[in-house]
Amino acid sequence: MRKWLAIIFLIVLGFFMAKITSSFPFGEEKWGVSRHYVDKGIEENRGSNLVTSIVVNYRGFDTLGEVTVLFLAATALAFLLSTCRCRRRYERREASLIVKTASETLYPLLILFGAYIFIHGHLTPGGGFQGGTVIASAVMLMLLAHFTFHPNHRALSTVEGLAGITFVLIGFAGLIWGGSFLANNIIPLGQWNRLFSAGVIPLIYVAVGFKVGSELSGLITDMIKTTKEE
Amino acid sequence: MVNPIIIIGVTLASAFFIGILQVYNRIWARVFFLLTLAFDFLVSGVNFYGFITGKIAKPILVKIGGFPPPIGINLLVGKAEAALGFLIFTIALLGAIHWFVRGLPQPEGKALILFLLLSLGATGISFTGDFFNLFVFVEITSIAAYGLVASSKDEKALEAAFKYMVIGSISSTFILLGVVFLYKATGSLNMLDIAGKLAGGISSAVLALITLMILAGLLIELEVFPVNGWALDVYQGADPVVVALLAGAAVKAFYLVFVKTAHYLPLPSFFHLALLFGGLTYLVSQFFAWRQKDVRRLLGYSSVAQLGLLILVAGFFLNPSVSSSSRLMMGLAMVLLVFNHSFGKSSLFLLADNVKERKIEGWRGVLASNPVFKFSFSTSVFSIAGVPPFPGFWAKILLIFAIPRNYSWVVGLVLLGALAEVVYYFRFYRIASEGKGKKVGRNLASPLISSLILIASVPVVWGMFTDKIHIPVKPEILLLLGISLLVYFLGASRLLQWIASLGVLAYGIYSLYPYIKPDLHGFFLALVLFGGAVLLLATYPGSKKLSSSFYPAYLVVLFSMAGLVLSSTWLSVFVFWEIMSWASFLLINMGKGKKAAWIYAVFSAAGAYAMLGGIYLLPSLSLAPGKFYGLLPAVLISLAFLVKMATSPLHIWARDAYGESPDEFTPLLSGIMSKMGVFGSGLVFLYVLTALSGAGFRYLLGWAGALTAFFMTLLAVFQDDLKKLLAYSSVGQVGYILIGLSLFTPLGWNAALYHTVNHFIFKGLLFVAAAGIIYRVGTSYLPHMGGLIRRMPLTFFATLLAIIALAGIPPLSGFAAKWLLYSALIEKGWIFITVVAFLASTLAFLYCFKILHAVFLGQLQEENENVKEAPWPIALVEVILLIPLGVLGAFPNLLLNPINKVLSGIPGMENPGFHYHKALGIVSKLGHWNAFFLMVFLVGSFLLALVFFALTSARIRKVGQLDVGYSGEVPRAPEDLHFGYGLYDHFRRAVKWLIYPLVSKIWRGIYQWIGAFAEMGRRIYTGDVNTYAAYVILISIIILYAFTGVK
Amino acid sequence: MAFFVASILLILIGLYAVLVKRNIMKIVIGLSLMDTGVNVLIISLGFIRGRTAPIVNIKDLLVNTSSKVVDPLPQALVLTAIVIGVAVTAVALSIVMLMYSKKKTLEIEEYKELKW
Repeated sequence: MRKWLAIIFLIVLGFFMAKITSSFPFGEEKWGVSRHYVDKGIEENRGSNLVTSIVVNYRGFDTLGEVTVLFLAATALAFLLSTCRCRRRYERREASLIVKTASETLYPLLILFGAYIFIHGHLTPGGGFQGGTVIASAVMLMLLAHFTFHPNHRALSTVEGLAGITFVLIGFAGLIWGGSFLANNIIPLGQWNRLFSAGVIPLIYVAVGFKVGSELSGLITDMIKTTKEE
Repeated sequence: MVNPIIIIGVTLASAFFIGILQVYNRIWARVFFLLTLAFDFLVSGVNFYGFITGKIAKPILVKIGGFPPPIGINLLVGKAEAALGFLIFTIALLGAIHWFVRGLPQPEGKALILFLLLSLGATGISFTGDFFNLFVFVEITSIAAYGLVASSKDEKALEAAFKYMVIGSISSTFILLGVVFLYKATGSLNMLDIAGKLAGGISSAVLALITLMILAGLLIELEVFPVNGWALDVYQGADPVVVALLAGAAVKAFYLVFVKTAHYLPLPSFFHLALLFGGLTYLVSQFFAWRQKDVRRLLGYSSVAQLGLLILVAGFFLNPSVSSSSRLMMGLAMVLLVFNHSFGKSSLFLLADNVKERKIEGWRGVLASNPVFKFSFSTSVFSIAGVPPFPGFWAKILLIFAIPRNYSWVVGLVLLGALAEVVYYFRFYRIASEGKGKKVGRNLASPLISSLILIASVPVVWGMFTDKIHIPVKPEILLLLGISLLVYFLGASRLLQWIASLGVLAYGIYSLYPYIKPDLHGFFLALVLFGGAVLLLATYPGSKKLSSSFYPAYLVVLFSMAGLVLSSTWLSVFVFWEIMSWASFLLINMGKGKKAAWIYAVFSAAGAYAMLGGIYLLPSLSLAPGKFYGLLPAVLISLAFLVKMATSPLHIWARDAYGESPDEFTPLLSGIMSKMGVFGSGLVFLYVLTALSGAGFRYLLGWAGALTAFFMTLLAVFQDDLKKLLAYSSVGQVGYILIGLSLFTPLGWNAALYHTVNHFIFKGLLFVAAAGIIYRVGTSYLPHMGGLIRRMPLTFFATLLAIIALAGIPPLSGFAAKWLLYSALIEKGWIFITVVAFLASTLAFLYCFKILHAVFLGQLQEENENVKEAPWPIALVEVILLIPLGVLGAFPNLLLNPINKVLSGIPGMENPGFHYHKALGIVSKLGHWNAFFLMVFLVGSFLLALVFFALTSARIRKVGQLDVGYSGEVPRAPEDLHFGYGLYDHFRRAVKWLIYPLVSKIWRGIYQWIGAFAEMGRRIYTGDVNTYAAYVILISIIILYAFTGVK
Repeated sequence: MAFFVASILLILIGLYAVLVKRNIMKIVIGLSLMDTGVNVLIISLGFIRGRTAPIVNIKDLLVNTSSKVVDPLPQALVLTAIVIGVAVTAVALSIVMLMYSKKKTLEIEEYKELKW
């Protein structure tokens, strides 16, 4: 009964959503405001990755919010789990030597890879979020492989906070020297398709990379470490 | 002007910084947190100030990244946004103070971050000018809220957080989908840009669906019925500080963005959407709260209802077919409602944090324990329930008068909801004010500040209100009302307050004296001022403990009555009527009958809201004879007055409200306040009805008056409580006045006005005497009295004469009233009413005798051996009131002449229908009667009898009460032997079927049935998250299906 | 077109779990699915047939870019949406962990104390 009712509801809802989407022919060219990003993006920001230009500059404020959301989630999770007497139902076994050794080898490489991704965020696919996630996956790998591995929580929090503050400070620098918050005209834009180009975009993305990396690492650590053996 | 981005940037940076600080040093994290909030508070305050002073003329447009609007994200901060930002940080600061005093949840650093980001998210929601950015801020707010709700100590909070999270996710999915579709359809995410593109109105079905998707998401966040189960659970389960921030600030941001979205995406059917969901939520939630037992959930229902009202208002506000002046009024009502609810509700939630008990019943006695608690609780409850002079009251009037005439059913809906609100809020208030005292927490700074803010806003709100709706009020009245409140600050000594009150009233008489003119207004003003002065004299506090707010409230009642009778528009009548009603509610609530006060409040509110509805229906507000506008306004307006006169079947509040109100106040309640009903009914007859059109209605009222007179008299006969007996008797006597008024003939009005004064004199006298007796004897239970004639001779004499006047026996003033009334009745030909009235008069003898005998005659009870005469102020007032009683008895024309003068100004009443003849006295068509002659004759006979008894008194032997020969039986208790005990038992058996409490049973039945229905209706909130989600989908489907509005 | 259908189906399946499943963990999974569906939908709304990614890292793309790349804005939006989805899921999971630690059950029946 409940099932069928739900299905009926959802079919109707799906009908309305289909009605909306069907009015936008799939794959057809329809530019809105993003025409400006495509046409003027390189000229205004010098970043080859237009998505990054949008994420960090045109809609940089969203990204600041996004970083905040992630920060909030990490904080909320740590906040909630700190009071949790969470127990796990299964027994944890020590990982095998192969896993341990391999993870130790991969760990710095993964971090390096993550850093590569966020440093090149304005040039290639990827950026701060993606790079940060890769870094966090390195930490997760270590956490899974080693019982004793424990990232320095204080350091993580500090990096996280400093990276966030850097983002906001870059924004304020834009406000003070560039006329508006997050303005990308306070340092030279450089040349197209070079590592040192696109003004503050790479700086922000590096900060975001640090932030996301440390936040997600902290988040994973919190989830794994607060759970005690039964 | 401060760039609003600074608020957001600084708050974010400091949130990140606290993230570092909290690892190393707790104290600095706290300091930094508070500094940030204070900074935000100041900065947003500066901007708000700039807007209200006009220094900032245009909305502030912040281009983030330096890109012009459609390209980059921008913030758009106008007056509303600035105000809301200020509101959010004020509430956040108050919540934070409360939190710090109570103790933060652990680990506190994280809690601080979440709290800061919750307020930031709400600010961002209101500031942003970009739809996608809106979604980001919605998520910031929501996630912070999930975390904070889940962290509350209460285990149930987790459950609430989970439901909140599930429903919140669905809602933000709708918003996100809608926003992305909107981008696809319009090519932009910028609110103003899109608004510009859609300026002509939404005409395509797809755009309508997209808009509806966003609106549906926002409506879920705005807790509309029935998708608000999660919100109620959060209100019930979460930490009150978090709830205060959510209900006080965050939801308001969602509301603002809802209004903005609806404004920018002009959907033709938005009006109906808002009307349906706003109205439904408002009404349903107000009723669902009726029998709610959990305090926090009750407050939750109330919040939801207020939001519903706000949505309703938004519908009218954005409806282009409503006149622009009405929309401006709606806008102001919106602002006032938001302000009122934010501070009132957060104050209440923070107060709830100070009481351990969750159940309303557990709140018994909380008000008695702590004056600060009592003050903030009362202020907040009154404010939210829309009691004058708080903002909620003005908002209600504004929004009602802004509703276009073709939607007058909405007025009914709003008023009905407001009445339900009064019912449950004051039930709550009643329970909290009952009982001796119960320990509550002392963390009261924030609620106190909130309520002070509410109070401080009153003059400002009054200014804003009168800017939109003009209420002609004499400045003297406002001044006097203000001074009256100041008397509160003499609270150290009641005696001082009494003297000060007399001084204030003397000043009032001095300043209002010029308004005592020979018209209806002046007549009643004289009654209020001089009568009030006499009765105020009798409130001499003695040694008895009076509340320190007694005198301020007393004066407010007096001066609001003065304002009422000086009104020149119906709206001003309503405003003063409400002030009078609520101030008198406070006074009644100071007595021992809290329930009585509650019933009084409910009936008063019902009457007042009916009156407001009636006034709304009148095309002209001025108090001047006009055309006949149909019976409905007249009936509705009269209801308020009939309630105050306690006309059957609206009388059931009266017995206990009179009987259990403070003895110092009852004389005013009966002697003068009930006359305001007389005044009002007079206004209705004169200005709403015309002589012809109202005939049927007046005849009906005549019957109502007669039946009131009859039944109340009958009930008085069987009362064993002195004050309740007098209460019934008072109400019954007012019935006569109503008969006189309803006659609408010169003679009838003469009788009515004459009896008005007369009733004031003898009822004032009786209740003052009763106050003296109760003060000395310590009880109002008749069988505990008796034989007091030797202890309180003056009071006896006063009571005797008052009763003679009451019974309408010559030679005292009462006879003139009755004589005129019967003459008028017979002249008009209302024979059956005459018969009933006669019957009632006869019955009155029974209770008159009972009072006299039970209180003063018979044997003195042992415990009353040491009773003394009433305190001197009471005795003085008795003497003062005896004088007109006698003088008017002998020379009724002393009063009749002024009354004739008053009536001569009323068209059709110029000829009084009787005249005064030197030898014959008063001559009417039916006969004549010389009062002076009668007086001399009767006083002479009395004196003769007195001389006779004085000479023969030597033969009387006095015996004690227990000195009985009773066939060896020992009486169980002294009261069994009391003369008044079971005096009319035989008679009672005979008329048992007549005094069956049918009316009160019907009222109770109505109350219980509504409660039962509400309780059943509430079951739709099953607490099951699947069900809640199903409601969400169902409502969304309905919204998407029914409100497209485009073919 | 298939993307639209798939994403709407994903959203509906996620909602179905929220509406019908009695296990709180499954409800959270449902929410996650919903999120994914929305993200796919956003991405596919920005797709333009026959175009490349909006990364202008070869000279050829520099001229007349708008006829060669897909709409970059939905991609930027989806990045934000994904991160927010992750955040919500993280908080949801921590709430579920807490709930489980208190009552040792994931059955929704046990979490109906607040009602009426």
